[in-house]
Parts: sequence; C-alpha cells; structure tokens
Amino acid sequence: MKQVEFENRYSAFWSEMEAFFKQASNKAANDQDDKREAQVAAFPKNYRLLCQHLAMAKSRRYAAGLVTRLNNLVQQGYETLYGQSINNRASILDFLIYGFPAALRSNANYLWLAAAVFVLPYVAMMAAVMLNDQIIYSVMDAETVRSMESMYDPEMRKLGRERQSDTDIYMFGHYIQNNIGIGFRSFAMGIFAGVGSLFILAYNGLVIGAVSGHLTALGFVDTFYPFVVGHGSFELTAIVFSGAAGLKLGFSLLAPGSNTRLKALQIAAKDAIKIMYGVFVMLLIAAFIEAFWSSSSTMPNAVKYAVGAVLWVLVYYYCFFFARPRVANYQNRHAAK
Amino acid sequence: MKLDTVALVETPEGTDLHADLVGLLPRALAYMVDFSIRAGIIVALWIVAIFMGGTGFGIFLIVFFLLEWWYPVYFEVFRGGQTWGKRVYKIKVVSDDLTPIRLGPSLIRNLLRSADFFPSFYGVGILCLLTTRRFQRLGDLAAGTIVIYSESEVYDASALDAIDAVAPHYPIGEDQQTAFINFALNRGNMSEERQEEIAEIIRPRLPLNADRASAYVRGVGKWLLGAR
Amino acid sequence: MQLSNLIIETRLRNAWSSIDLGVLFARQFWWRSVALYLVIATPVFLLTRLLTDFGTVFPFIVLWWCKPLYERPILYMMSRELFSDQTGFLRTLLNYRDWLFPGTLAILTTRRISFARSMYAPITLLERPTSAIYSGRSLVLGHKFSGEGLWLTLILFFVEGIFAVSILAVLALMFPEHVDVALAWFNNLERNSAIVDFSTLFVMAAISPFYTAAGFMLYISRRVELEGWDIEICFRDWMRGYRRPIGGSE
Repeated sequence: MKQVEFENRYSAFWSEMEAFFKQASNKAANDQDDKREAQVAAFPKNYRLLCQHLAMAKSRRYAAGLVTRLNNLVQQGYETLYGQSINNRASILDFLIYGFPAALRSNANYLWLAAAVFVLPYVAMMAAVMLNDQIIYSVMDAETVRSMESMYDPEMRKLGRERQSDTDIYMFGHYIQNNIGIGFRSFAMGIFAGVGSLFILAYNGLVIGAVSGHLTALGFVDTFYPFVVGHGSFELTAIVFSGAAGLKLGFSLLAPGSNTRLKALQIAAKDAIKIMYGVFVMLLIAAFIEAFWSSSSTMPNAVKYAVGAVLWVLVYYYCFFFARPRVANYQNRHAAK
Repeated sequence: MKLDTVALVETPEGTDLHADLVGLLPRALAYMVDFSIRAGIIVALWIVAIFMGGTGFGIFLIVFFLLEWWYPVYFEVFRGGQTWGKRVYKIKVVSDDLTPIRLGPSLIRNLLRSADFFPSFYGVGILCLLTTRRFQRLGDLAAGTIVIYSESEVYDASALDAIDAVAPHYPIGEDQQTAFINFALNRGNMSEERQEEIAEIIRPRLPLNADRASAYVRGVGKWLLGAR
Repeated sequence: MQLSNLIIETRLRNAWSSIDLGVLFARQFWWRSVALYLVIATPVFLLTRLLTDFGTVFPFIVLWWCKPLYERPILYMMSRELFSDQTGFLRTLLNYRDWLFPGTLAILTTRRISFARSMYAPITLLERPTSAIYSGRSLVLGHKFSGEGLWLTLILFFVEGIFAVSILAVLALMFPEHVDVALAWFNNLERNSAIVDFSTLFVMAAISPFYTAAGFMLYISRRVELEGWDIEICFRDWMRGYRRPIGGSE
C-alpha cells in the first residue's frame, strides 16, 4: 500500500480517535452520550488497531510526520488504557475496612520492633524521672517543663493547653499540622536505612515518658491521664505504625533479598503506604478527640476513662482481630498486584 | 550506547514510547514557583486569621497542613501530574512506565519529600537528582516515578512555504527521513554555505540531474512531512 | 573533530535538556574532574589563607573569583572526551600548555563577570578568538540560551551553599557539642574554621564538573543547531560504504 492510499483509508478513523481522546481529557463532556459509550466499548479494539498502524507506518518507512501523528495517538491510547484509575468508591471503602488491617497484620514484625523502640524508652524514662526529678531536664529545658506543668494544673478549665484562650478549633488545627506531620516524617525518615524512624520513635518515647513520669510524680494524675486516655489510643498507636512503615522502607534497602535494592524499595513502599493511609485517618481522629473531647475539664473522669478504655479496645480489635478471614482474603487478593 | 536524557518504554503491544527526562534545573524552578504560590496563600490567610482570632488560626493551620503535604498530591493525581509550577515549565510527573501517576505513588513520593529535604533545603534530593540515571529524588525512586517534558516538539511549517516539494527517487530510511526533515525546517538557522556543505555529503546518492544539492534535500524534506 | 566519535546523542535540544545532558556527561568524568579542580584550587586557597589573617573572608573571595581557572582543565579534558579521545588525569596535566594560557587573563578579568560563564568558557578555550571576534561569537552562540545559562549559574551557586550547610548540619547532628550550624556560617568562622574551609572547598570541587559540563553542553547544543551536526552525522552514516551504481557518472 502506498502511503497516500494508507492515509486516505484511515485518516477519518484517526481523526475520530483524536476527537475521542480530546473529549476524554475534557471532564465536562457528557458521559451519558450513546455514541461515546459505544466508543468506550470499542476502545481496546481501536487501540490495538492504532498500534498496528504505527508499526505498519514505521516498517514501511512512511513519512515522519505521519509516524509522529500515530505515535501521539498510541501514546494517548496507552495512557487511557493503562492509566485508568481503579480508585472507585467501592474499592476505597473496601480498602479502609479491610486493606489497612491487612497491611498491618502482614507486617507484624515491623510493628513489634517499632512498638519496642517506642515503649521501652517510654517506660525506662518514666521510671527514671519518677525516681530522680532532675532527669527530665536531660530531654527538656526548664521553660518547657514549666509550661507543661501548667497545662495539666488541676486549676485549669481547659486541659493540655498552654494558653486558656486557645479555642478548640485552633487546637484541632494545631494537632493536625503538628502531629500528622510527625507521623509522616517518622515514615519518610525510615528510608535512611531505618535510622530516622528509630530515632523519632525513641525520641518521642523518651519525651512522652519523661512527661508522664514528671506529672505522675507531681500528683497531676487526675488531670493528665484522663486527658491522654481518649486520643492516646489513636495517636500513640499511629505514631508506632508510621515508624513501622518507615522501618519497612529502611529494611528493604538493608536486605533486598533476591531483588535489586531499588525494586525492593519500591515493593516495600507500595505496602508501607497502605499503612500510612490508615495512619493519616487515625491521626485525624486523634486530633479531633484531643481538641474537642480530651481537653474538657467538666466531664467526669470516670466517663473519660470509660470512653478511653472503649477506644483502646476498639482500635486494637479493629487493627488485629476484626474480621480475620475477610482481611486475610483481602490480603491474598491484593498480594499478587 | 551514546549518552542521552531519554526514557524508553515498551508497551505490552510491542510499541516503543519515549519521553525526555527532566533534570534538576526546571524542577527546582518549578518548585520555586509552587513555593511562592503556597507562601502567598499562607501569608494572605495569616492576615485573615489575625482578624478572626483563635478559630481563624485553627483554619490557617489546617490549610497550612494541606498545602504542605497534599498540594502536590492533588495536582499530580487530578491535574495530569502537573502542579502550577510544573505547568509553567511544561514538565509533569508520570510513572516510570509513562502511564499517569496514581494516588499511591503520588503519596509515596510526596511523603518522602521530607526525607529528600534532609538535612537542609533538599540536600539529599538534589544529590539524588545529580547522581541517578533518570534524575530521580528519593521519593521518585521509592514511588517508581519520573518527571518528563510534557510537550513534544511542534513543527513550524511556515519555514517551508518557499520550498517546492520533491518526491524522493527511492525509499529513504527512518533516520535519514528525520535528517531530511530537519534540514528542510532548518530549525538551527544554518548558514547557506553550511547547508550546501552538508547536502553535498550525499551528492553521490542524489539523482544526476539534481542541480543544487541543498535545494533537492530541502524539497524531499518537505515532501516527507506530507506536502505534495 | 570527528563527529562520528561523539559520545553524546546529537539531536536538537532545548537549553534545559542540554543542561540535563551535561549532568549525565559530568557524572562520567566526575572523579577525574574533582581531582583536576583540587590540584589547582587547593594551592590557591592555602596560599591566600597563609597570607591573610585567620578567619577573614578574603581567601573565600579569591577562591571564588578564580573559579574559571580551576574549571579550565576540566573543560579541556571534557572537550576531548566528548569525541572519544581518552584524556586521563595525568595527560591533562601534562598538556597544561593547551589550557593554562590561552585567554587566561580575559577569563579572570573582563569575562569573569558573566552570568552564564560556563556557556561562554568553551569559546575562549576551544576557539581562541581575538576579543573582537569573541563578542560576535558569544552573541551568536550564547544569546538564545543566555537566560537558562544564568539560571544554571545561580542555581548551582545555591546548590553549593545548600551542600555546604548540609554537611555542617549532618556534623552538627552527630556532634551537637562541637558544631554549631547557625553560628558556623555567620559569625563563628574561627571556631569551626577547618570544617568550614574544607567543606567549602570540597563542595565547590564536587559541583564544578556539573557546572562546567552543563555549560559545555549548552555550547555544544548551539553548535549542533547552527552547524547541523545531527544532519551531518546522519548523512555521513548513510554514505558509509555507498558506491554509486554502475552506469552513473558525475
């Protein structure tokens, strides 16, 4: 076939496909259109046809202008066919319910390690501070200690705040900006062979342990623990999770197994990011509870402890025990991808 | 294998696609554009917050968080891989198989931004951009993404008006076709003498009646572009 | 200059893409370039360091001003390697006559204050024009890419600063009592002097291959365009071994 003949025969088809891609990129187009539906149905077939045409044009050494046109069409087709988002509503919901616990349960090793790196410094520091009231100054300066003391003073109307004038919404914004940032960072810094995550986990363990020990020793037990019990289940757990996700990144580089380091990192990141979606949601919930519920000083402590206990049980039940067969099933279905 | 800044990908259908990779400079400049935009929004909002008091600052902090972590994710996933800054420099983020980037990889590369930022002002990220073959920072490496130029070159056909198209006297290979076309378009503004000099190289392959080699090569180039 | 020996893919490139190619190019010769840079920069720095008071910025200004001088052997080596002409560390030094003298005064005085310095450096070194011809040449070659050449200089200058601060920041993280980042740069040069000196010198040497190669590729890209290198290479390949069929005659 001569080039002119080839062009004459298929030019209309190419123009039609060009119009199709143009419409696809323009979201305002009417999706209900019958013609469009037919085009979408015929798309995989048409795409293969375009690929054939490009191969033909190349092998017959047709003019470069034509080859460029076909190359563009194939490229757009390729993007449309393989770039289609699978993130429809059903699969997002499916992920939130089963995918997150599935990712956690299949990475139990990292969770244990991260929990140990957080909890051991916490317990050790708490004990040390209660035994010796000077030790707290090794992780905090005097100014910070004073302001922390005032935050949990039983005289305060709003707990956990440096300034009583701060509104709930301000604190909500503060917790989001600050705490979620810490969570994200303790994941990201894990890429440095896990060292960053270990450091952030241990450091937070030390500081929070020091605060707990100091306030317990001061006797602020009835203000501090009712304050943290509500959001702690979400917040502390989520920080450990994000550290675990970071450790997974770092470990993939240290021990890539049969893959190249790059490939191992990409596989680990793909799995770790599933944990981070959940961490994000957990820290949002934590920020909400901390700003609007934990700070209240009028709510009886018994209620706070009861609600807190229920939340702790719920979080751990959901993460590790809820719907075991279905979560395992989700894991199996998505493991291949 | 000659040095080149190109990413080649074979599609499942056996067709080769290629894209030009983007290195440090346009990416840094695009980042600065985005940074300025974000800084502008933050300053404006801060001023509003001063008048609104505590609640205003709460909203300010939430927006700050969104701009810090989710601004690039939004543009990469829903606006074709281009933040405003990347649009200005005509570059975009794609998966390393040249398909559009999805939510997962976008989130990976943008959360790891804080690792690339370490220890100060993207020190690690810049080091990675300078040392990896496809100009990837840590976030790109982990997410399997690359940054490419978003616009392929467009021919300026007006340069061809004065030329008469000449049908080639026998088939010309793909590589040579490109050379003929580039010659006809003369995008580099070669001088007359230089054009003649280059065209004379292939004199033995030209028809005997071709008078000026450059005129003939130019004519064939125009014909190859589709003009008759 | 045998175009078929080029180690880069010749095609029409815009300025950004040329700079990117320069980064790839620099990476191939990075160790050698850094060594060549330090061979000249270190004596210059140490000498000014000895002649001035401890802790002043004068040695840094001299070090910075003479940058074009240290970049010359790198550029010389790269300009030969570009055409597959292997030019090692020793060979470059032994051929010092080719790069140490031509136009040295100009690049350290009138041509020093150019924002796209590395793009114009090849004109001086490789074409060795008189100053009248130089201004015409730099206009033809440089005008189109001068904006990008300027960004190249500016951004790599910032990158030097970022790397220098980063090194100090990492040191400060590891030895918090001994290094104070904020002070080290601004008013406590004396206390951390050795660290600041060596990190500055090393970072300058580490960045210079990228800067030199990127500027060189901007220059080469313009020549590819203006002289149709890509077309010439393609036509010469096409003619290799070709004989006009019998019966044809000139």
